[in-house]
Amino acid sequence: MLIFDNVSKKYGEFHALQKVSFQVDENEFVSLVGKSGAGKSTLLKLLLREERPSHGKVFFEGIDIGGFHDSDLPLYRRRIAPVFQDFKLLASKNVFENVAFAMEAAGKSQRDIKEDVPQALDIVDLQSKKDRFPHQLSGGEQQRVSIARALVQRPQVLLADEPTGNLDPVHSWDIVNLLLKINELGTSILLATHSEDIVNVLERRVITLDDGKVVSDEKKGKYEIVEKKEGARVKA
Amino acid sequence: MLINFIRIIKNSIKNFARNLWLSLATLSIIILALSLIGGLILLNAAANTVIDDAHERADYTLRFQRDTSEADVLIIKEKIEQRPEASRVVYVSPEEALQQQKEQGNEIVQEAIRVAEENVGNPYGASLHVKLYDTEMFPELKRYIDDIPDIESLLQDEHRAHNEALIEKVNTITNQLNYGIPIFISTLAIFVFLVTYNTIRLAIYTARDEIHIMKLVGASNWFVRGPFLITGLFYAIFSSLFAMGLMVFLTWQIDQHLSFLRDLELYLYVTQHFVYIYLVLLGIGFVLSVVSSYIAVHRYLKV
Repeated sequence: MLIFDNVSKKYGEFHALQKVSFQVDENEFVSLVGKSGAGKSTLLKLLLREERPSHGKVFFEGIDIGGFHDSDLPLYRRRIAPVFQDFKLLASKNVFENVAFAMEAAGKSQRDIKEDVPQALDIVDLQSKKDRFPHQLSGGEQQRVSIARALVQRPQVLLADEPTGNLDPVHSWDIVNLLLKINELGTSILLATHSEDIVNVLERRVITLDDGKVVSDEKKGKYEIVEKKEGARVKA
Repeated sequence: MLINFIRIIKNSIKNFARNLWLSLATLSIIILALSLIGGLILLNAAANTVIDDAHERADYTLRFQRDTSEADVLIIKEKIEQRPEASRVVYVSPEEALQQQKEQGNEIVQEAIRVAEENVGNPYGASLHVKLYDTEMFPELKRYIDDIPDIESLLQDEHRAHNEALIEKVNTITNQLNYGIPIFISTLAIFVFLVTYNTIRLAIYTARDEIHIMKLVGASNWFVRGPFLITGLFYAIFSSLFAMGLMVFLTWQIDQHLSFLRDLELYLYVTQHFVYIYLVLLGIGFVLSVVSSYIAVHRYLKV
């Protein structure tokens, strides 16, 4: 469903990604690991078409997303819902409106919104706080709102960029459990993280990035980041 | 389509209410801008009234010597009437001139007339009052009159020189106003536009993160842009109505209480040109708020 074909991304002279190739199939749960600056966020930005590759192509269902016209992007983005480390909620909208916004933008009917949004809020256990604004919620609650927003889009892929990065361990596991639940419902998950515990417990596919390159891609992987120290490769 | 439009309107109302202070500040700036532009429209109208009035008063009067016969004056009148520069030529006989002065002159004039009548009879000669289509045409008419045979011996020189100087002065002032007023108005209008545009840009700048998020969750450009444009339209309608109301009220007050400005007939001008002025204000308000919003949002949509 998702294919990275020999993708490189340069910012000036800096190589954020170098010749990255991999494929994500339907209903897969893939963890993308690597230390800070390894290229995880760049990779997700390319998937969201916030950025374009300097070289190579990214395919979604066989279509090169680099070829999308600006007017096609909204349709594409509704199928690959993002969840961010900093939540990216609309500060001027309450919980219900934040979740409903994704459906409104997609032109969904008012009846669908009234049905789906409460269901999504039930799943993330926030129905009782639907009238609150983002600044009235904890970090974990805000992240659950952003997951609910992704859920109502019924995406084929959910891109989670360090979704637990700003959360304490308890809330982090809440979020991971939600992602697993979403995956069970048929959505592919691409989880960028550097939480060793989470990746090791998941026992799912792990793609490890280092210096913008894919250094390992294992079906049931573990969190293994290799660091170059004085010429030797040492497990972190 | 319709449901999207309704949502855009709903979102714009919510945005306005939830960012009330910022919205009111922006609205105040646009009201101020349109009121200033309304003031400039009035200034332009007042300047035109002053110019027209000066032109109206600056007719070219030929005062003849007391011994010039009526027949000679009427021949000259006929000649001047043929000229393309003259819109109207009025003959005033010595008797009519005397009567007018008796009726309109102050006590000193009355006394002077009485003394003159006792010594030399009617002190006034006949005169021709030439109304010009345009005072700019005066030099051509003057050249023509100067070329009429024996005209020098028929006219009172002193008054003629004074009359010519007056028309030239009117022409100079008119020219200065014709250039000065548009430059002043344009300069002020540019400042008003820049201040308003930057206020709107600043208001939208505060929403740049939200615009970014909306785009990432799949909102189309029009769905993001729409509420800003609808808010801009609301600003334009409300501000133009407010500025128009202020204009009517102030000109009415001027008409009622400031007698020295009453001759400008600003209230009459505003009421007679109400629709025109409102449409101009609405149009400028539209450009200031809707077009500015469109331009300001556009740069944040490139996600």
